[in-house]
Amino acid sequence: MVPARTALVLFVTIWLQVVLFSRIEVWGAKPNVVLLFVVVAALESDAERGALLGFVAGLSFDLLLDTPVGLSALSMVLVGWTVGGFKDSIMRTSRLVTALLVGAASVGGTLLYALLAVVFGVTVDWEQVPAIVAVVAISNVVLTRPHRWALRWAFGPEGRSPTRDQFIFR
Amino acid sequence: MPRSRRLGRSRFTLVLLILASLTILTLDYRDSGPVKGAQRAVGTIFSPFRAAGEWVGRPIGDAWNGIFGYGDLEDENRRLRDEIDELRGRDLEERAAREEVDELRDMLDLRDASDIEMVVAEVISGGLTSFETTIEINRGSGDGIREGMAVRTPAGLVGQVERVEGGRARVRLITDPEFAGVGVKLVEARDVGFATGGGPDGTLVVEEGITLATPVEKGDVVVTSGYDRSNYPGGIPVGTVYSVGRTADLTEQTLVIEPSADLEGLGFVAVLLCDQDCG
Repeated sequence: MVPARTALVLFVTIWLQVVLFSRIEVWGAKPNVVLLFVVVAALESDAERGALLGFVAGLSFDLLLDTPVGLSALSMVLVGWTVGGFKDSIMRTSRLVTALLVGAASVGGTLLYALLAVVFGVTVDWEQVPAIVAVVAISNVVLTRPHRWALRWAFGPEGRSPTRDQFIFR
Repeated sequence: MPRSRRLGRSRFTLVLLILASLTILTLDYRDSGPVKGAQRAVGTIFSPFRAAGEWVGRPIGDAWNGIFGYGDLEDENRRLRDEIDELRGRDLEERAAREEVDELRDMLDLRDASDIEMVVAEVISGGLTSFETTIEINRGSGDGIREGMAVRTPAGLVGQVERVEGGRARVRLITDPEFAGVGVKLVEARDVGFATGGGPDGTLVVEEGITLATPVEKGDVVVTSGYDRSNYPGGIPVGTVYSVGRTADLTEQTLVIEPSADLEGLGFVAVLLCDQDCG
Protein backbone atom coordinates (compact mmCIF):
# COMPACT_ATOMS: atom_id res chain seq x y z
CA MET A 1 0.00 0.00 0.00
CA VAL A 2 2.84 2.42 0.75
CA PRO A 3 4.09 2.57 -2.88
CA ALA A 4 0.55 3.04 -4.21
CA ARG A 5 -0.25 5.84 -1.75
CA THR A 6 3.12 7.52 -2.41
CA ALA A 7 2.54 7.29 -6.17
CA LEU A 8 -0.88 8.93 -5.70
CA VAL A 9 0.63 11.82 -3.72
CA LEU A 10 3.33 12.23 -6.38
CA PHE A 11 0.75 12.20 -9.17
CA VAL A 12 -1.36 14.86 -7.43
CA THR A 13 1.78 16.94 -6.78
CA ILE A 14 2.82 16.89 -10.45
CA TRP A 15 -0.77 17.55 -11.52
CA LEU A 16 -0.95 20.60 -9.24
CA GLN A 17 2.37 21.86 -10.56
CA VAL A 18 1.14 21.53 -14.15
CA VAL A 19 -2.40 22.90 -13.85
CA LEU A 20 -1.97 25.43 -11.05
CA PHE A 21 1.53 26.38 -9.91
CA SER A 22 2.93 26.71 -13.44
CA ARG A 23 0.41 29.53 -13.97
CA ILE A 24 1.32 31.48 -10.86
CA GLU A 25 4.17 33.92 -11.38
CA VAL A 26 5.84 36.17 -8.84
CA TRP A 27 8.72 38.36 -10.09
CA GLY A 28 8.57 36.29 -13.29
CA ALA A 29 9.27 33.02 -11.42
CA LYS A 30 7.10 29.98 -10.66
CA PRO A 31 6.91 27.68 -7.62
CA ASN A 32 8.20 24.12 -7.91
CA VAL A 33 6.22 21.75 -5.70
CA VAL A 34 7.78 18.63 -7.25
CA LEU A 35 11.02 19.65 -5.54
CA LEU A 36 9.03 20.12 -2.32
CA PHE A 37 7.71 16.55 -2.65
CA VAL A 38 11.28 15.23 -2.76
CA VAL A 39 12.47 17.36 0.18
CA VAL A 40 9.52 16.40 2.39
CA ALA A 41 9.73 12.73 1.36
CA ALA A 42 13.39 12.72 2.40
CA LEU A 43 12.51 14.43 5.68
CA GLU A 44 9.83 11.85 6.39
CA SER A 45 12.01 8.86 5.52
CA ASP A 46 15.79 8.57 5.06
CA ALA A 47 18.61 9.25 2.60
CA GLU A 48 18.08 6.07 0.57
CA ARG A 49 14.35 6.52 0.12
CA GLY A 50 14.85 10.28 -0.41
CA ALA A 51 17.18 9.52 -3.33
CA LEU A 52 14.85 6.88 -4.77
CA LEU A 53 11.78 9.12 -4.58
CA GLY A 54 13.87 11.98 -5.98
CA PHE A 55 14.67 9.84 -9.00
CA VAL A 56 11.06 8.73 -9.57
CA ALA A 57 9.61 12.22 -9.04
CA GLY A 58 12.29 13.90 -11.16
CA LEU A 59 11.99 11.44 -14.02
CA SER A 60 8.17 11.58 -14.02
CA PHE A 61 8.33 15.38 -14.17
CA ASP A 62 11.09 15.33 -16.80
CA LEU A 63 8.83 13.40 -19.16
CA LEU A 64 6.45 16.38 -19.21
CA LEU A 65 9.14 19.03 -19.68
CA ASP A 66 11.11 20.20 -22.69
CA THR A 67 14.40 20.38 -20.85
CA PRO A 68 16.66 17.28 -21.20
CA VAL A 69 15.05 14.13 -19.77
CA GLY A 70 16.99 13.02 -16.68
CA LEU A 71 18.00 16.52 -15.58
CA SER A 72 15.36 16.88 -12.84
CA ALA A 73 15.91 13.22 -11.90
CA LEU A 74 19.65 13.79 -11.40
CA SER A 75 19.24 16.98 -9.36
CA MET A 76 16.39 15.54 -7.25
CA VAL A 77 18.32 12.32 -6.49
CA LEU A 78 21.08 14.48 -5.01
CA VAL A 79 18.61 16.70 -3.14
CA GLY A 80 16.69 13.70 -1.71
CA TRP A 81 19.84 11.91 -0.61
CA THR A 82 21.41 15.04 0.93
CA VAL A 83 18.28 16.11 2.82
CA GLY A 84 17.60 12.55 4.05
CA GLY A 85 21.19 12.12 5.21
CA PHE A 86 21.43 15.57 6.78
CA LYS A 87 18.22 15.19 8.73
CA ASP A 88 19.09 11.64 9.73
CA SER A 89 22.42 12.50 11.32
CA ILE A 90 22.17 16.01 12.67
CA MET A 91 18.93 17.02 14.24
CA ARG A 92 15.62 16.58 15.88
CA THR A 93 12.76 17.88 13.78
CA SER A 94 10.86 20.94 14.89
CA ARG A 95 8.71 23.31 12.88
CA LEU A 96 11.42 25.96 12.64
CA VAL A 97 14.16 23.48 11.74
CA THR A 98 11.89 21.86 9.15
CA ALA A 99 11.10 25.25 7.61
CA LEU A 100 14.78 26.19 7.49
CA LEU A 101 15.72 22.84 6.02
CA VAL A 102 12.97 23.00 3.36
CA GLY A 103 14.04 26.56 2.47
CA ALA A 104 17.73 25.66 2.27
CA ALA A 105 17.04 22.48 0.29
CA SER A 106 14.84 24.43 -2.14
CA VAL A 107 17.57 27.03 -2.66
CA GLY A 108 20.21 24.32 -3.10
CA GLY A 109 18.02 22.16 -5.34
CA THR A 110 17.11 25.06 -7.63
CA LEU A 111 20.72 26.25 -7.94
CA LEU A 112 21.89 22.68 -8.55
CA TYR A 113 19.28 22.29 -11.29
CA ALA A 114 20.39 25.58 -12.91
CA LEU A 115 24.06 24.51 -12.83
CA LEU A 116 23.31 21.06 -14.25
CA ALA A 117 21.10 22.66 -16.89
CA VAL A 118 24.04 24.78 -18.07
CA VAL A 119 26.30 21.69 -18.13
CA PHE A 120 23.75 19.86 -20.29
CA GLY A 121 23.34 22.72 -22.75
CA VAL A 122 20.22 24.50 -21.50
CA THR A 123 20.37 28.29 -21.59
CA VAL A 124 19.72 29.76 -18.15
CA ASP A 125 18.90 33.42 -17.59
CA TRP A 126 21.16 34.02 -14.56
CA GLU A 127 19.64 37.45 -13.92
CA GLN A 128 16.35 35.68 -13.27
CA VAL A 129 17.80 32.92 -11.06
CA PRO A 130 17.71 34.88 -7.73
CA ALA A 131 13.96 35.48 -8.22
CA ILE A 132 13.40 31.80 -9.12
CA VAL A 133 15.35 30.64 -6.05
CA ALA A 134 13.45 33.02 -3.75
CA VAL A 135 10.00 32.12 -5.12
CA VAL A 136 10.68 28.35 -4.98
CA ALA A 137 12.08 28.54 -1.43
CA ILE A 138 9.30 30.74 -0.02
CA SER A 139 6.45 28.83 -1.68
CA ASN A 140 7.92 25.50 -0.58
CA VAL A 141 8.22 26.63 3.05
CA VAL A 142 4.60 27.85 2.96
CA LEU A 143 3.35 24.59 1.42
CA THR A 144 5.40 22.25 3.63
CA ARG A 145 2.63 21.39 6.11
CA PRO A 146 0.00 20.08 3.71
CA HIS A 147 2.71 18.15 1.92
CA ARG A 148 3.93 16.59 5.16
CA TRP A 149 0.39 15.51 6.01
CA ALA A 150 -0.04 13.94 2.59
CA LEU A 151 3.27 12.09 2.75
CA ARG A 152 2.76 10.95 6.35
CA TRP A 153 -0.54 9.49 5.20
CA ALA A 154 1.21 7.88 2.21
CA PHE A 155 4.04 6.37 4.24
CA GLY A 156 1.77 5.29 7.10
CA PRO A 157 3.25 3.92 10.32
CA GLU A 158 5.04 1.11 8.44
CA GLY A 159 6.70 3.35 5.87
CA ARG A 160 8.04 6.00 8.16
CA SER A 161 11.68 6.20 9.09
CA PRO A 162 12.33 4.59 12.48
CA THR A 163 14.66 7.47 13.23
CA ARG A 164 12.17 10.26 12.62
CA ASP A 165 11.81 12.69 15.53
CA GLN A 166 14.41 10.89 17.57
CA PHE A 167 17.52 12.94 17.11
CA ILE A 168 18.83 15.90 19.01
CA PHE A 169 21.42 18.44 17.88
CA ARG A 170 24.86 17.01 18.33
CA MET B 1 20.08 -2.16 10.62
CA PRO B 2 23.29 -0.53 12.00
CA ARG B 3 23.80 3.07 10.96
CA SER B 4 27.08 2.45 9.09
CA ARG B 5 25.49 -0.33 7.01
CA ARG B 6 22.50 1.85 6.25
CA LEU B 7 24.80 4.65 5.12
CA GLY B 8 26.77 2.26 2.91
CA ARG B 9 23.59 0.99 1.31
CA SER B 10 22.23 4.49 0.73
CA ARG B 11 25.52 5.50 -0.93
CA PHE B 12 25.31 2.49 -3.22
CA THR B 13 21.71 3.43 -4.12
CA LEU B 14 22.80 7.03 -4.73
CA VAL B 15 25.54 5.97 -7.17
CA LEU B 16 23.13 3.65 -9.02
CA LEU B 17 20.51 6.38 -9.36
CA ILE B 18 23.06 8.96 -10.55
CA LEU B 19 24.27 6.49 -13.19
CA ALA B 20 20.67 5.78 -14.23
CA SER B 21 19.97 9.53 -14.57
CA LEU B 22 23.14 10.07 -16.62
CA THR B 23 22.22 7.14 -18.89
CA ILE B 24 18.77 8.61 -19.52
CA LEU B 25 20.31 12.04 -20.18
CA THR B 26 22.68 10.47 -22.71
CA LEU B 27 19.85 8.61 -24.44
CA ASP B 28 17.82 11.81 -24.63
CA TYR B 29 20.82 13.77 -25.91
CA ARG B 30 21.14 11.27 -28.76
CA ASP B 31 17.45 11.70 -29.58
CA SER B 32 16.86 8.07 -28.72
CA GLY B 33 13.49 6.59 -29.69
CA PRO B 34 12.54 5.09 -26.29
CA VAL B 35 12.95 8.40 -24.43
CA LYS B 36 10.97 10.39 -26.99
CA GLY B 37 8.36 7.61 -27.11
CA ALA B 38 8.04 7.63 -23.31
CA GLN B 39 7.69 11.42 -23.35
CA ARG B 40 4.95 11.24 -25.96
CA ALA B 41 3.14 8.43 -24.10
CA VAL B 42 3.27 10.17 -20.72
CA GLY B 43 2.13 13.45 -22.28
CA THR B 44 -0.82 11.75 -23.95
CA ILE B 45 -1.83 9.82 -20.81
CA PHE B 46 -1.53 12.95 -18.67
CA SER B 47 -3.43 15.11 -21.17
CA PRO B 48 -7.02 14.38 -19.97
CA PHE B 49 -6.02 15.01 -16.34
CA ARG B 50 -4.56 18.35 -17.37
CA ALA B 51 -7.70 19.26 -19.25
CA ALA B 52 -9.81 18.39 -16.22
CA GLY B 53 -7.60 20.46 -13.92
CA GLU B 54 -7.42 23.47 -16.16
CA TRP B 55 -10.93 24.73 -15.54
CA VAL B 56 -9.87 25.21 -11.93
CA GLY B 57 -6.21 26.14 -12.41
CA ARG B 58 -6.66 28.66 -15.19
CA PRO B 59 -9.03 31.09 -13.48
CA ILE B 60 -6.91 30.96 -10.32
CA GLY B 61 -3.71 31.61 -12.28
CA ASP B 62 -5.37 34.40 -14.31
CA ALA B 63 -6.75 36.01 -11.14
CA TRP B 64 -3.36 35.82 -9.42
CA ASN B 65 -1.52 37.33 -12.37
CA GLY B 66 -4.28 39.93 -12.81
CA ILE B 67 -3.94 41.08 -9.20
CA PHE B 68 -0.17 41.02 -8.94
CA GLY B 69 0.51 42.16 -12.49
CA TYR B 70 -2.02 45.05 -12.51
CA GLY B 71 0.65 47.77 -12.91
CA ASP B 72 2.23 45.95 -15.83
CA LEU B 73 -1.17 45.49 -17.46
CA GLU B 74 -1.87 49.23 -17.27
CA ASP B 75 1.48 50.05 -18.89
CA GLU B 76 0.92 47.42 -21.56
CA ASN B 77 -2.56 48.76 -22.26
CA ARG B 78 -1.18 52.27 -22.80
CA ARG B 79 1.59 50.97 -25.06
CA LEU B 80 -0.85 48.90 -27.11
CA ARG B 81 -3.18 51.90 -27.66
CA ASP B 82 -0.25 53.88 -29.06
CA GLU B 83 0.69 50.97 -31.28
CA ILE B 84 -2.88 50.60 -32.60
CA ASP B 85 -2.93 54.27 -33.64
CA GLU B 86 0.35 53.88 -35.47
CA LEU B 87 -0.71 50.64 -37.14
CA ARG B 88 -4.03 52.10 -38.36
CA GLY B 89 -2.11 54.66 -40.37
CA ARG B 90 0.35 52.13 -41.71
CA ASP B 91 -2.44 49.70 -42.62
CA LEU B 92 -4.05 52.21 -44.98
CA GLU B 93 -0.72 52.80 -46.72
CA GLU B 94 -0.01 49.11 -47.10
CA ARG B 95 -3.44 48.03 -48.32
CA ALA B 96 -2.90 49.51 -51.76
CA ALA B 97 0.57 48.00 -52.09
CA ARG B 98 -0.77 44.60 -50.99
CA GLU B 99 -3.41 44.62 -53.71
CA GLU B 100 -0.76 45.24 -56.33
CA VAL B 101 1.42 42.44 -54.97
CA ASP B 102 -1.54 40.02 -54.96
CA GLU B 103 -2.31 40.84 -58.55
CA LEU B 104 1.30 40.22 -59.58
CA ARG B 105 1.39 36.92 -57.62
CA ASP B 106 -1.77 35.74 -59.35
CA MET B 107 -0.31 36.63 -62.72
CA LEU B 108 2.95 34.79 -61.98
CA ASP B 109 1.20 31.91 -60.12
CA LEU B 110 3.42 32.36 -57.03
CA ARG B 111 2.59 30.90 -53.61
CA ASP B 112 3.08 32.72 -50.29
CA ALA B 113 2.39 32.09 -46.60
CA SER B 114 -1.19 33.33 -46.83
CA ASP B 115 -2.06 30.51 -49.29
CA ILE B 116 -1.15 27.79 -46.80
CA GLU B 117 -3.85 26.16 -44.72
CA MET B 118 -3.68 27.16 -41.05
CA VAL B 119 -5.14 26.03 -37.74
CA VAL B 120 -5.78 28.71 -35.13
CA ALA B 121 -4.87 27.63 -31.60
CA GLU B 122 -5.09 29.19 -28.16
CA VAL B 123 -1.97 29.46 -26.02
CA ILE B 124 -2.97 27.62 -22.86
CA SER B 125 0.21 27.73 -20.83
CA GLY B 126 3.82 28.73 -20.73
CA GLY B 127 6.62 26.58 -19.35
CA LEU B 128 5.85 24.23 -16.46
CA THR B 129 8.83 25.54 -14.50
CA SER B 130 10.83 28.78 -14.51
CA PHE B 131 13.53 27.11 -16.60
CA GLU B 132 11.25 26.17 -19.51
CA THR B 133 10.73 28.53 -22.42
CA THR B 134 8.23 26.68 -24.61
CA ILE B 135 4.51 27.46 -24.81
CA GLU B 136 1.60 25.05 -25.07
CA ILE B 137 -1.31 25.34 -27.53
CA ASN B 138 -4.70 23.64 -27.43
CA ARG B 139 -4.45 21.89 -30.82
CA GLY B 140 -2.71 18.61 -31.54
CA SER B 141 -2.37 15.67 -33.88
CA GLY B 142 -6.14 15.43 -34.48
CA ASP B 143 -6.05 18.90 -36.04
CA GLY B 144 -3.29 17.93 -38.47
CA ILE B 145 -0.46 19.42 -36.43
CA ARG B 146 2.90 17.69 -36.67
CA GLU B 147 6.35 18.34 -35.26
CA GLY B 148 8.36 20.95 -37.15
CA MET B 149 5.42 23.04 -38.39
CA ALA B 150 5.74 26.83 -38.29
CA VAL B 151 3.68 28.90 -35.85
CA ARG B 152 2.85 32.55 -36.39
CA THR B 153 0.60 35.43 -35.49
CA PRO B 154 -0.54 38.17 -37.88
CA ALA B 155 2.45 40.18 -36.60
CA GLY B 156 5.04 37.55 -37.51
CA LEU B 157 6.80 34.27 -36.88
CA VAL B 158 6.44 32.83 -33.36
CA GLY B 159 8.21 29.47 -33.42
CA GLN B 160 8.09 25.84 -34.39
CA VAL B 161 6.03 22.89 -33.10
CA GLU B 162 8.37 20.91 -30.87
CA ARG B 163 6.16 18.11 -29.59
CA VAL B 164 2.58 16.93 -30.24
CA GLU B 165 0.66 15.18 -27.45
CA GLY B 166 -2.89 14.18 -28.38
CA GLY B 167 -4.99 17.33 -28.33
CA ARG B 168 -2.14 19.73 -27.57
CA ALA B 169 1.28 20.71 -28.80
CA ARG B 170 4.33 22.48 -27.42
CA VAL B 171 5.93 25.26 -29.42
CA ARG B 172 9.54 26.39 -29.18
CA LEU B 173 9.83 30.16 -29.61
CA ILE B 174 12.15 31.65 -32.23
CA THR B 175 14.11 33.49 -29.54
CA ASP B 176 14.97 30.27 -27.70
CA PRO B 177 18.65 29.30 -28.17
CA GLU B 178 17.50 25.72 -28.78
CA PHE B 179 15.29 26.84 -31.68
CA ALA B 180 16.56 25.11 -34.84
CA GLY B 181 16.89 28.37 -36.78
CA VAL B 182 15.21 29.92 -39.80
CA GLY B 183 16.37 31.26 -43.15
CA VAL B 184 15.74 35.01 -43.27
CA LYS B 185 15.84 37.75 -45.86
CA LEU B 186 16.43 41.50 -45.54
CA VAL B 187 13.52 43.07 -47.40
CA GLU B 188 15.35 46.24 -48.54
CA ALA B 189 18.81 44.78 -49.23
CA ARG B 190 17.49 41.41 -50.55
CA ASP B 191 20.39 39.54 -48.87
CA VAL B 192 19.66 36.26 -47.07
CA GLY B 193 21.05 34.77 -43.84
CA PHE B 194 20.32 32.24 -41.15
CA ALA B 195 18.81 33.34 -37.82
CA THR B 196 18.95 31.50 -34.50
CA GLY B 197 17.52 32.22 -31.05
CA GLY B 198 19.31 34.94 -29.12
CA GLY B 199 18.37 33.75 -25.64
CA PRO B 200 16.94 35.45 -22.58
CA ASP B 201 17.04 38.96 -24.06
CA GLY B 202 14.25 37.95 -26.47
CA THR B 203 16.01 38.51 -29.79
CA LEU B 204 17.23 36.51 -32.80
CA VAL B 205 20.79 36.57 -34.08
CA VAL B 206 22.00 36.28 -37.69
CA GLU B 207 25.63 35.18 -37.72
CA GLU B 208 25.98 33.86 -41.24
CA GLY B 209 24.99 34.90 -44.72
CA ILE B 210 25.00 38.70 -44.60
CA THR B 211 28.00 39.96 -46.56
CA LEU B 212 29.98 43.07 -45.63
CA ALA B 213 28.81 44.77 -48.83
CA THR B 214 25.13 44.52 -47.85
CA PRO B 215 23.74 47.86 -46.65
CA VAL B 216 21.90 47.20 -43.36
CA GLU B 217 20.48 49.71 -40.90
CA LYS B 218 18.67 49.55 -37.61
CA GLY B 219 14.95 49.16 -38.27
CA ASP B 220 15.31 47.22 -41.56
CA VAL B 221 12.55 44.64 -41.96
CA VAL B 222 13.44 40.92 -41.91
CA VAL B 223 11.17 38.16 -43.28
CA THR B 224 11.53 34.40 -43.76
CA SER B 225 13.45 33.59 -46.92
CA GLY B 226 11.61 30.34 -47.71
CA TYR B 227 14.92 28.52 -48.24
CA ASP B 228 18.34 28.03 -46.59
CA ARG B 229 17.73 25.00 -44.28
CA SER B 230 14.25 26.29 -43.61
CA ASN B 231 10.87 24.58 -43.92
CA TYR B 232 9.02 27.85 -43.51
CA PRO B 233 7.31 29.56 -46.42
CA GLY B 234 8.85 32.83 -47.52
CA GLY B 235 7.54 36.25 -46.63
CA ILE B 236 6.52 35.74 -43.00
CA PRO B 237 7.62 38.80 -40.98
CA VAL B 238 10.34 37.88 -38.49
CA GLY B 239 11.24 41.28 -37.06
CA THR B 240 13.36 44.36 -37.47
CA VAL B 241 17.11 44.82 -37.24
CA TYR B 242 18.03 46.06 -33.76
CA SER B 243 21.80 46.25 -34.14
CA VAL B 244 24.51 45.42 -36.68
CA GLY B 245 27.97 44.00 -35.96
CA ARG B 246 30.67 41.84 -37.51
CA THR B 247 31.60 38.20 -37.15
CA ALA B 248 34.81 37.33 -35.26
CA ASP B 249 36.72 36.73 -38.51
CA LEU B 250 35.40 40.06 -39.90
CA THR B 251 34.15 38.41 -43.10
CA GLU B 252 30.41 38.88 -42.59
CA GLN B 253 27.92 41.05 -40.72
CA THR B 254 26.01 39.90 -37.66
CA LEU B 255 22.51 41.16 -36.96
CA VAL B 256 20.43 41.22 -33.81
CA ILE B 257 16.74 41.06 -34.72
CA GLU B 258 13.86 42.17 -32.55
CA PRO B 259 10.86 39.88 -33.25
CA SER B 260 7.79 41.54 -34.71
CA ALA B 261 5.40 39.18 -32.87
CA ASP B 262 4.90 39.95 -29.17
CA LEU B 263 6.20 36.68 -27.72
CA GLU B 264 5.52 37.70 -24.12
CA GLY B 265 1.78 38.13 -24.42
CA LEU B 266 0.67 35.46 -26.88
CA GLY B 267 -3.05 34.67 -26.78
CA PHE B 268 -3.81 32.98 -30.10
CA VAL B 269 -1.46 31.70 -32.78
CA ALA B 270 -1.82 30.02 -36.17
CA VAL B 271 -0.05 26.79 -37.10
CA LEU B 272 0.83 26.49 -40.81
CA LEU B 273 -0.24 23.00 -41.90
CA CYS B 274 2.78 22.21 -44.03
CA ASP B 275 6.21 20.87 -43.21
CA GLN B 276 8.34 19.68 -46.13
CA ASP B 277 6.18 21.30 -48.85
CA CYS B 278 6.17 24.84 -47.43
CA GLY B 279 8.61 26.61 -49.67
